[in-house]
Amino acid sequence: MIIRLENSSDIPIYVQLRNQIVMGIGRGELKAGESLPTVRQMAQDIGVNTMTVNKTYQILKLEGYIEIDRRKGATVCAVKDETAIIQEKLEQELELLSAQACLKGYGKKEFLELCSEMFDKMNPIALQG
Amino acid sequence: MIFFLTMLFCSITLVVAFYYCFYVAGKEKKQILLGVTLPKEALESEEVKAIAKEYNKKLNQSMLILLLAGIPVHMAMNGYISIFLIVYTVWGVLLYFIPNEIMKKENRKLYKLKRQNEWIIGETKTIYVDTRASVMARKYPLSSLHFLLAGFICLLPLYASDNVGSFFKQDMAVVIFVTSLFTKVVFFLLYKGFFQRSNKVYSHDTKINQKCIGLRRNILGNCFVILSYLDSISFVIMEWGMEKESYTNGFAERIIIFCLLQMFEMVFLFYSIFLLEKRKKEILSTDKSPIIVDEDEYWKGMYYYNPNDKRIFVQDRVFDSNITFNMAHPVGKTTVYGLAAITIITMVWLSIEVLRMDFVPYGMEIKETTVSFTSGGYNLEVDIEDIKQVTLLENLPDKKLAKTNGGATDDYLLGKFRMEDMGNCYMYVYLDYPLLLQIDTTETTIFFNSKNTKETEQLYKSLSKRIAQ
Repeated sequence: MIIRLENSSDIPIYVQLRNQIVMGIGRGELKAGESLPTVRQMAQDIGVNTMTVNKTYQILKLEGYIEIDRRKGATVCAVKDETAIIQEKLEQELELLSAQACLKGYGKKEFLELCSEMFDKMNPIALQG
Repeated sequence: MIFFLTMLFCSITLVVAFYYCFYVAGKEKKQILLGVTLPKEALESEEVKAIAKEYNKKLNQSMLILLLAGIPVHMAMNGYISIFLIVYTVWGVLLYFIPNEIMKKENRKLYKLKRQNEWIIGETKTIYVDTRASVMARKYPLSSLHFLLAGFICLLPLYASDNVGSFFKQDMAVVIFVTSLFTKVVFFLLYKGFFQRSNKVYSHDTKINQKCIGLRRNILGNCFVILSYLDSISFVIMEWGMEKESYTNGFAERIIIFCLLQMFEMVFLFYSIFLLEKRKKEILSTDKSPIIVDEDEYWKGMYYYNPNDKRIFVQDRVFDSNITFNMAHPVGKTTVYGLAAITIITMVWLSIEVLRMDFVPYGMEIKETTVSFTSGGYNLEVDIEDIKQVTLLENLPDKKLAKTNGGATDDYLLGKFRMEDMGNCYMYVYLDYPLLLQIDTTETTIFFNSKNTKETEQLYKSLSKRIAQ
């Protein structure tokens, strides 16, 4: 999977990295059981402190997207059915996105079409794995 | 002769390496020309072509002048060695400094043109990571134990030695032995370092990135292991039997084999890098979705300066196999300036030491209870009680001689030597002047003469008289 981060963005690098990995799993670019680079290697490739990458990996681990093993390193988890847990988070984020879309002049149909288009891009192989 | 051949080999390597580095910088690679990222249409423009042409012309002219200047520099080897070393160092510095200045000038000119024309290409301030290629990069092609094995080979002269204790009494044997082990550590660190550095993402196609990283891993990984073994073998050949009295026999021949093997190592390293670049170019030519990131604002000529980047060193943009320091990182900056300072201090100190060896006359003074020998660098004081006999010779004994620590030129011998059938001895000898003293003490033998023959005779008489008392 190719991760793309922007140095000039207002979003911190560790958040950008977390989002990219989640989107990668969602799109099926990262499969269940696939290894991620070690914290040190990832930090070296991005050009950030190891603490930054460590923070991202810990967040991803807490959210259940990856698991960290001392020997194997970080690997992508098989997607679990956690709809109840994610519901609240999705509601919050969708509310914010809906507000932004509404304020920028999007109609409901237009917004839902965009959501549908984005959702269709998702093909989490982890779900089958 | 060995010294001449070694210096000639170093010079040829230096000229070829510098010329190749700066020549490649003047050729477009991944849309980077003279360290400036440009769109394809800009690369075809007349203004850009003119700058590239001017750079190549200036580079060729300056390298030709420096090459011709190298002839009198090497001829200086026939005179004082100190003068030669100073002139050679200045020549070596110019060999890098002049082409670098030409490149910096043309780089600034091209960058200015780029900004005027707003030739922006790809993305700026964007970082790419290929997770699969990155995971793969960490896997070593060969076990690190090879370096341990190469280290064990360096211990072979100790096994072959009749007496390990006497081996470690030889200054030169110890220096060579420690150097052989030290080079294994350097090779091991280079091997580790190459696999832990940041990985460049060339394409949106993971397979292309994996192929490029795999290529680097296999070619350079195997290269370092082979170099490590070759290096151990070359050192073992030089050290073999060094502790024995007869080590002076065949030592020169062993040094020649050592130099040849070391030269082969250099050639092998250059060939590996060349092969890597060639194969990578072939792979990248098939890439349909290359990633181009404009990082020009972080590159000041050949130097990388990015305060947002926490890495100490990064991949060089002209040579992928090379690394360069991030001058915005305190450790990177300190390392570069520190290394430069150490090099300058070492060169100045060495120059002073060699100048002293060449120009400070040898002195011998008979004091109340001791005799002191002075020179530029090697001073010695012996008790008169310890002197067994003093002999006036017309020439040095016709025996094989090997330098342990000191200076040996066509004009003089100075410092610690080892003579066949005699063992350790000290030399304060001007070769072109007849008559010299051989002073045998309970521990060592000292050879001394002065440029003034009468003074040598006078010293002989005085010392003989003092010993007789």
